Amino acid sequence: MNHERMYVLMNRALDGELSVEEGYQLKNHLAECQECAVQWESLQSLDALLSNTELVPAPLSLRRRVSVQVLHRAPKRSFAKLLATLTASAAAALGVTPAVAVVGYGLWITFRSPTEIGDLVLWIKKLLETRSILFQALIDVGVISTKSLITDHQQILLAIISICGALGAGLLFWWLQRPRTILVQG
Amino acid sequence: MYEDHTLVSQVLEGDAEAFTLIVRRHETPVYNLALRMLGNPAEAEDASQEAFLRAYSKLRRYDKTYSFRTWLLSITSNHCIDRLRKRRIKWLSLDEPLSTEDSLKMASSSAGPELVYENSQRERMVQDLLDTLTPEYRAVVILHYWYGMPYDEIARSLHTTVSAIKSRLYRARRMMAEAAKEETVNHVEMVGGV
Repeated sequence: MNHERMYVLMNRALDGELSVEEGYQLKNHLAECQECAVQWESLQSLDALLSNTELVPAPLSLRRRVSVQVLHRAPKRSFAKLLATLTASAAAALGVTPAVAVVGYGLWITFRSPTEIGDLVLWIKKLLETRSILFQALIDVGVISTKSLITDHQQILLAIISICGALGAGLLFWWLQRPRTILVQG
Repeated sequence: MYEDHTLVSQVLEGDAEAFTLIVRRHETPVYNLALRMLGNPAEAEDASQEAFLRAYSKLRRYDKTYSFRTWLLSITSNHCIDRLRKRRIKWLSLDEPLSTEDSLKMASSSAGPELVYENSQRERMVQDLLDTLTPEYRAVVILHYWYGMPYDEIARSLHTTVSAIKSRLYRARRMMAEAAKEETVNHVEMVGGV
């Protein structure tokens, strides 16, 4: 019988994978082949040696070293959160609120007259008309101090800048809040 | 006691301190794997630290459908294999590193002197046998014997197939058994010569 095949069966036996039939084959072969019997004995000794070796405790310094490295490189959460919250709030107040107010006011004007519901062109027209009303309101509360400085084009530009600012603040908020990772070489 | 997955989620949410609990839970298996692979306590500690930091940096890539321990040991074993490849030339050095035997002596200081001696002899023999193997074979033997990992988990950890793992383990056993036999013969000759 093939010695290599018997060697595979010996390994399968050590791993507890041997079938009953394979077990008989191996047993019969070992009874006849001195060379394989010696090999089987040495494999069993090796298996026992490796299986009976215990784990040693990790040095206490390992935990400390890893913790220091990780905590040192972790984000400063409280500061980041505060900064992000303040930035996002300010940007939202300056950017999102006027934009929402413009749209909201336009909707209110449109829905106030039932006959005009569903007329998109008219709605947009109304929206553009109400733009000046809104900015007048902003002027009144002192956000914009001088009406003459604000032309129609500047109003549109200001609205675009406000929306971009709000989006930027959102991105900054997301960036500051993400879990920081460590870059390790190798 | 928190589960690994819970701790991983906490770390990903920015709670770096949760990672210290992960370290506490897995430091012994990680350190022992590195110690068996490298055979030197100081280097094993460095490798363990590096493995934990790599795990921390790659935590987003961890697939929660698999065992966290297996994933961590995979990082450790692959890192140790890299280290062994890099220092291969150093194996020829005559400098004797602090052996695992010394590490065990320190660890079992409360045990009796005879037991300590017996353990240290066994440790030394095991480490000598492991040292006869290539890094890839060594990793398979360690993950199989000390961590009881099934073949498919070892294969996943070492990025290879189950048949390759079986082949490595079978060959490693043969190599170690032959090395053990030679060592016994040398020992008998040495004792006989005295």
